[in-house]
Amino acid sequence: MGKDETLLCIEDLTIGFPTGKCVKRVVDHISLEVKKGEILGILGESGSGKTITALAVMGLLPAAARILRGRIQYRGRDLLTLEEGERRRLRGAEISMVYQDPMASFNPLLTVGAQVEEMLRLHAKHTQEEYRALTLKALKEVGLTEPLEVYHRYPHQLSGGMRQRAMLAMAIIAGPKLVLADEPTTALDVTTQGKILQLLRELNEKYGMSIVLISHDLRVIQNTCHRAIVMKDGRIVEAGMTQELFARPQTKYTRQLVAAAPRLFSDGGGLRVTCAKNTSYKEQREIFTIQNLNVFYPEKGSGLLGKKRRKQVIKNANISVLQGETLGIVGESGSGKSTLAKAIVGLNREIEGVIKFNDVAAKGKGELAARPQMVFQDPFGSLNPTKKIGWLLEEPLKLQTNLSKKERIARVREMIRQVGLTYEFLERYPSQLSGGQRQRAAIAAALIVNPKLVILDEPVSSLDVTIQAQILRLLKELQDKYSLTYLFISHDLNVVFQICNRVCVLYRGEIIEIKEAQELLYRPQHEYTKELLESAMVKMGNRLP
Amino acid sequence: MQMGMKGTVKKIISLLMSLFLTSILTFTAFQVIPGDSALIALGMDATEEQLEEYREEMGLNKSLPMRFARWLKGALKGDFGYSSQYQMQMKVSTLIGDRLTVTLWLAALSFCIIVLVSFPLGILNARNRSGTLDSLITLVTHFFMAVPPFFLGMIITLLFGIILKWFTPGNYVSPEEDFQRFLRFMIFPAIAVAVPKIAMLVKLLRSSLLREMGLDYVRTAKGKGMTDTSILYRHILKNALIPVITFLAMILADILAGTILVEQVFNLPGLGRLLVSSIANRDYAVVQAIVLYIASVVIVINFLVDLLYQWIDPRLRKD
Amino acid sequence: MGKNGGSTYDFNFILGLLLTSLVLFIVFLGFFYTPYDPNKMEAALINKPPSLSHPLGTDNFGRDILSRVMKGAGTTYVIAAAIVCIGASLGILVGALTGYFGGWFDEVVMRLNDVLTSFPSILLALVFVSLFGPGSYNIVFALGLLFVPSYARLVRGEFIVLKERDFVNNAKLMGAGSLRIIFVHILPNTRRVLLPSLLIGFNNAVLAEAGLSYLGLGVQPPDASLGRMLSEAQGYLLDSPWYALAPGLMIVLTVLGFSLVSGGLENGQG
Repeated sequence: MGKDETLLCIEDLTIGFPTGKCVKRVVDHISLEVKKGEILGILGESGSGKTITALAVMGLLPAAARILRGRIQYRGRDLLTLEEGERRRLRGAEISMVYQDPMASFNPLLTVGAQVEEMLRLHAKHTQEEYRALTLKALKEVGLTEPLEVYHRYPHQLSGGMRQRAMLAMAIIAGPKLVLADEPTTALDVTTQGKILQLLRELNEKYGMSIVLISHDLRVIQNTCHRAIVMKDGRIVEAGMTQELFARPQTKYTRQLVAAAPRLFSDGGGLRVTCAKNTSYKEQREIFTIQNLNVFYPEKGSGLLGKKRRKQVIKNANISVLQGETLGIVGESGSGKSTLAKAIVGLNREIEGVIKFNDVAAKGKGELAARPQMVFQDPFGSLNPTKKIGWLLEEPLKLQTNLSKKERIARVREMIRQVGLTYEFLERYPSQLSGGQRQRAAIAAALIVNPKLVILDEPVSSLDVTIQAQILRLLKELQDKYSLTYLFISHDLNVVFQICNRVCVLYRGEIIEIKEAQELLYRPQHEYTKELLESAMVKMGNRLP
Repeated sequence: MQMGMKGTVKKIISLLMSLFLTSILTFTAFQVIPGDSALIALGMDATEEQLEEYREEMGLNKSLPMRFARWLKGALKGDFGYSSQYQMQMKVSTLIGDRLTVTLWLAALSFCIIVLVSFPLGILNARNRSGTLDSLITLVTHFFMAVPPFFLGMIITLLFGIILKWFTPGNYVSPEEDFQRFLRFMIFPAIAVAVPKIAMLVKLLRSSLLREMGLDYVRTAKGKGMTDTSILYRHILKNALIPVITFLAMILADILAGTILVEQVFNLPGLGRLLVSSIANRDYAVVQAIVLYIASVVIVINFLVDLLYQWIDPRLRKD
Repeated sequence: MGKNGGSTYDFNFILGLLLTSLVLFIVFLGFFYTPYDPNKMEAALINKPPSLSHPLGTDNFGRDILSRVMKGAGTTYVIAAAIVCIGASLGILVGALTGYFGGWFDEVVMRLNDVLTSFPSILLALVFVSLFGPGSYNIVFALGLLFVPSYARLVRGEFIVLKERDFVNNAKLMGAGSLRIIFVHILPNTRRVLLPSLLIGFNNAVLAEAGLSYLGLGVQPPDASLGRMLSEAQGYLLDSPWYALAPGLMIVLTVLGFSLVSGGLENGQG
């Protein structure tokens, strides 16, 4: 049992889903090894086959999947030919998995404690009290400071980070030698993400546990793993030691991934901000201002006579946006970013304070003078699924302009070209478009009425990194062309620093800092801003200057 | 925990409100009937004095709220006045009490049959998933759902009563007389009520189980090294039961309603036949009482189901 | 799995379409042509079993059962369709408005809905009939109103979910008014649940009409309807069982056909 012992060895694994007569291959001739005590990263965009590979190791493939060829050996034993009872004994005790969506992966009707303890009961013989004590110990181990309380909670009562920790506790409690972690940080806030990855590294060091970390996020892999594999369309594109691999990528695809990954922190220790070069905005006047804005969220009163209550989401916000700039609004989920956006465009009328567009004030319930438009996070949700793209683009023209049918069609055709799509897309339904195409269509629909101000609410968060880069480039082109002003809302600092001139940090409904992007990056004032920047840095394996 | 208590108290209040609303609706609905209810009650050959006496006695000269209060007070004590189709010689409550036994037995028997048959069938079906079986089960369940209980009752009468002679159609035996023969007779109408519901429940149970089986937490349980059987009983079943419970409550209400028709087919002296004959004879006191009774039972069942949910599903407990 | 499930469901869906077109054909034919006058009594032909001249036999008055089934199914269908029309159009309107606007109006309507649905529907129908008297028009009116709550609830539920979706926010930003949003933007999105529920509603209406007419409270003699015929046939189960089978099977085939089609639609067929 040397340090170099190979725990897991996958040879020539091919997995497919039979559809009709042909078989769709999702994993295609994969070979890889996991050594004792190492952290192996598998990087790939959605649909690259990384999760399926992990599920195949666990023996948890969906019923429709077929293993077409190959071997999966665990410490010299072929898992695929192993008898089911034997294999069951390995699951959890030797190899365990941390699943992607911890909310869905816990049984909603049992307490977290019972579910973590169940793992132990299946693989070890103890007394009732010992089971419980060991479970509490494991919960403590993963950084849950109140293990007894968590033990008695139900999954829905925990925060996302706590659920992920509990899931981790469940994975390690029976002392496995190999843990497969499938996107363990994807659903989490940036600060929590860093902590969970830290925890994984600690567990690896402390117990010599091998970890396979699966992620679509290059930074996560780069920061945590010793070795990494890049997957695309079910094949391994490239593999190597992490630092080496991403510093000098050999294949075009990996280079693309590295290039598409947010610039900011990517080249060694040096920092380079690629903020928009648009310097002319400084001479421009304010296109709109917010003064002492309070936004509320109406809470449903109980019953007919229930008093109307409202929760304050945004507290005393002051922002002014200059013509032609891109102002970023950064904050974690729940910080009130989207609520602020909805208040600005007039979708939320529960407001106090002043929102001024070009000096025309819109107070409280008044109508807005110049309509800002908005691009939403999920283009599938923001495009009506029962209407064709052409209809959707024409609708705002019908409602807001007096153009004739002919003029409207001409405008729609011009716009669809501008966002890089062809006329054929006008006859398609949103469901027939890919994610990136849908977001292009959504941008077209927002820009078609010539707005001056466009609010972009996490416009690239639901997209793969390569597509993200394309959409960001498109947004910049359109900004120059139509001299647009953007309000760019995001939780992803790296995206924000790519596109914004100024950045505003939102924390629990309050604007704690608002300044030039460079300025914020080098001289953050507020503690929270520092923490936010740091966690983004730590993920890159760098330190703050 | 205290909030839980508060929630329960709130639910009880809303239950009482619903019951009260139902009684108002039931009462006022019958106030819009055209015609003199004294005349309807006593018949055309009643004298003016008799009518006046009746009106006085029944409080018909009083205002609507007063009459409602009077009716509700009686109803709470189980007193709904006298039945006009029995020439005011029979108390409504006695009439209903006699018939209730039959209907309750019928409902209880069919409910037992439904649960006892559906659950094993549903679980068995869900464990064996294949395209052809799927298709077949869908066809069979749709077929049985399409047969109206009263037509099924006729088929059963024809098949088991007339051809096979397992029971004598129309020859109802009361439970006091001979309990065994009573049960042997009642099993057939109970089957007629149960079959369409069994089809629905098997379909629901199967689809609910299959849906749960595809969820991530089942994969987690499997990843722990549990056997399929223990996953089914420890994790899946409770989750799959959640939609089924609502359906069971609905079935209970439906059974009560379904007995109305099936009692007619099998000539059973139950609430349903009493209701139909009361409607035909314009005996409103009886109709009101039966409607209030059945609606109250349904409301109380829904209330209990609500409580049951809280107990099963921690997500519904507010804290 | 999707593909597999889809192709096996096909069979049931096609069977449903075939059954539905068969019964619809019979009914449509019945509007213009029946082999005999459905109400003509023939003393010589009382309770005759099926034969070449009377394929489904004759009833206790010597009337041709095939003609009566054709005519009676027509009556039942028209009543059922009218019930669904009333119930669905009112229900959609109420559900759309309450779901979209919410507020006290929604609270009041939904409370009322709750109370109404706590009565089993056949019971409420019986109450209606006892208040307004038996007859086809009263049934249509009574059952139509009884169908409103279920549609209102369904549409309201969909609206509550859909109105929070970003495409509705988008439409608001584009300047669409409330009515345009409700009927042009949101309502078409409910068709996936609405269409199958219309078919199921038709089935329930057929069964309800049959039940009420069976109890003698619906369609009045001498007009034929499927429930009415079953109720008449009940007394002759011993001597002429074919009398009950014909209208009964017609109900079963109708309901089976529609529910198979509706099931297929729910699974994304068609």
